[in-house]
Amino acid sequence: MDFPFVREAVSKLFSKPSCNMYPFVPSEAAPHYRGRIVFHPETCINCNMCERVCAGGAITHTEEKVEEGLRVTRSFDLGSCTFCNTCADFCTRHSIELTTDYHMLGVEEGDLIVSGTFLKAAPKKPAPKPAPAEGGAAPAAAAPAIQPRGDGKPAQDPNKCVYCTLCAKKCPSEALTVDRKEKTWVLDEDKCVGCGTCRDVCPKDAIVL
Amino acid sequence: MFKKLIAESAAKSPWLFHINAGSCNGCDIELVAVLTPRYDVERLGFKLSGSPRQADIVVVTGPVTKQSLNRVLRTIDQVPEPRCIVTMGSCPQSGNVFKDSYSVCAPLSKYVHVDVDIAGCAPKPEAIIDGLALATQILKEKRGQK
Repeated sequence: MDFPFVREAVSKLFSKPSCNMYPFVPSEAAPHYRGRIVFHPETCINCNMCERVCAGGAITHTEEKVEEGLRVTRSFDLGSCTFCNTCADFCTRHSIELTTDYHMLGVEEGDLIVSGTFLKAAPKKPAPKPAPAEGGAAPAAAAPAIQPRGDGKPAQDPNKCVYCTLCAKKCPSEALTVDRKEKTWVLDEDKCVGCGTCRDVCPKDAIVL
Repeated sequence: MFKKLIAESAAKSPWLFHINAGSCNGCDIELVAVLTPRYDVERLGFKLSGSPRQADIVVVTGPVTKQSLNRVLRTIDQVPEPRCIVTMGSCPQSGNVFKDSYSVCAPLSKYVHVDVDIAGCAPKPEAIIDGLALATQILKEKRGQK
C-alpha cells in the first residue's frame, strides 16, 4: 500500500504552526489602515465641517465663552465611528488623522473618547478699508487681479464671479450669502472662520484668501 | 479537589457564544476569521459554543434591532453567571450610522451590563483577540480567581 501523505504529515507534526502568533508576536496594521483617531486641536479652526459630514454622528463639540474668545472641546466617539476617513478628508486644516493603531478597547465609559481642547480667539475688528466692490459695477479694464484682504478671509473678484452660489452652499459656517439674480456676494465676517473651502470650490477662481 | 481542577481548567478555556443582533455581517466575518487557522484563537483556549447555556463569554454584534432585542436579552439570560458580555464593533455600543432609527435599540448597555467594548467597524482580528483576552481576565476576577 502506498501512503503518499505520510511524509507530509510527519514533517508537519514537527514544523512550526502556520498561524499568526498574535499576542506573542506583535502585528502591524497595513500602512493605510484606518484606526484610532488622533485630533490636533492646535490647527483646528472650528469650522464644524467634520461634524456635518460624519455619518455616525460620532463627532461633537462643546463651546465655552472665555475672555479671550471661545474655548472649544471637540470629541470623537470611537464607539460610534465607522472609520470612513470622511472627516479627515474634509478637514481643510488636516487636524484629524486616522492612525494605524487598532488597539481600541473600552471597559469604562470614556475609554473610547478622543478629545482635544483649543482656544478660538475672538475675531479682531478689522481696520477700516474699502470693501471689495460688490456687483458688476467695477470697470473691467481698471480691475487687475484682486488683492487678498490680509486677514485670512475670502475676497471676491466681481469680474470673474458668475454667482453660481457654490461657495455659499459649501461654506461650513454659512458665512456667505450669494444671490444669483441680484448679483450680490456678501461675507459675514463674524461667522467666517477662514477655512478656504469657498476658494477651493470656486470654479472660476474668483475668490482669494 | 476535582472542583478546583475543573475551575482552573475552565478559566483557561472560556467558551464563546456569538449573537448577531442585526449586524451587517462585517463583524461576524471578522469573528469567524479569528477562529480560522490564520489567527486560531482556539490555541488560546477559546471555543465557539453552540448553546448559550455552556458559554462563558457572549459576543454581541449588530445594532440590536427592535426585532432582535427580546431574543438577545432572553439568550443572554440563559448564559450562566459569571459571564462576560463583549460588544463588538461600533453598532452595539452606540448604533453607529443606524442611531436614532425607529427600529434600532442600541446601545446594548441600556439593557445589560457590558464588560468590554471592542471598537472598530469592523474591528481587526488582532483587536478581537485583545478584547477576548481582556474578557478572560474580567471573567477570572468575577470568579474570584487570580
